[in-house]
Amino acid sequence: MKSILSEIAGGLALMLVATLVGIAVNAARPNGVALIQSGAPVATASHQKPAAGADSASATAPLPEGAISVDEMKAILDAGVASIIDARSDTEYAEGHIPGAINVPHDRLPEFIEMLTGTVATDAEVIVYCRSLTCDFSDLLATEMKILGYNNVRVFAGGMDHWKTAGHPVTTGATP
Amino acid sequence: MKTLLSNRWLQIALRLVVGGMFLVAAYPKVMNAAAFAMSVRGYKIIPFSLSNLFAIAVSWSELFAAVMLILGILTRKAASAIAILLVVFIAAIITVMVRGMVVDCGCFGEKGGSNTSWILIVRNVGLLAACIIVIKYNDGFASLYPWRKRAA
Repeated sequence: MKSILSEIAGGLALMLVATLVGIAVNAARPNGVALIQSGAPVATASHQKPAAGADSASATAPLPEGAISVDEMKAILDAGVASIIDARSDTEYAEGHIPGAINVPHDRLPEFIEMLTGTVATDAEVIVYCRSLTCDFSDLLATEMKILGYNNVRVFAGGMDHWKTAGHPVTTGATP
Repeated sequence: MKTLLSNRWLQIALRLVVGGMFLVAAYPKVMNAAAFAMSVRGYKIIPFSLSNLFAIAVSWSELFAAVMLILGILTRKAASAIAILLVVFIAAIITVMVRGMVVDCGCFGEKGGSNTSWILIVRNVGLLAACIIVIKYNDGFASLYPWRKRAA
């Protein structure tokens, strides 16, 4: 037992040394990351279960702070001034998305960064959405986009649930 | 059983398989810490502010331990470091699944991951078992720096 504990202590010491080397290399790299990530994650998704009898897709449910409503989303789409990003999987996107929305699956952002930064300027108005009020893919993507330098990112919290409930147009297929 | 587990060729095979997998996993993470930090934040376990530091700690620990395990430098301690990482990974995947989340595991950096699932847990438990066998039975054979010799 003593021998095992000694090996575990050795393993932890090895990890500490590796971490210190990693910090030093990161500091010397031009593409190094900040050791302490500044800012705060975007958090608009509700993890509360809807009250009994309530419709989770209801467009009348109270909106989280900082999120935009389905009516605002429709006005923004009609004005054509913002880049709209769908944070769901490519399968869900193909089944139906907001017309003109670009698909950037939240969990595959590194694969999509080149396309995203080439398509959407960092000073552009960006709206991110996913499935519904309880879906946090859009929060995760909005958080990462802010870290990437996008300074005007908001979340359409109701997502496709509210969009469809409101009867707004939906585009199917793999393209915007 | 003990004779089988301490077999030198089995020990070398376990070192190469576990070390090789961790080396392949560590390389893209070390090269692109920002991308791996995104995966870390996706788990929503580590405080947001510490996500980058955690990503650096994990990726460089994987790299060091993998190289040391393959070459046989402080072999048991390298296997211990990988075992500690595997316990952390298994716990992280379980907490994500319990919370009903589906996230890219980030296991092999930015492009080679798969979504968190029981298959990943089973794979990691298998790797953990291999590490424990190395920690308990490795005798320093075919190692660059065997710090302890055991009778064959």
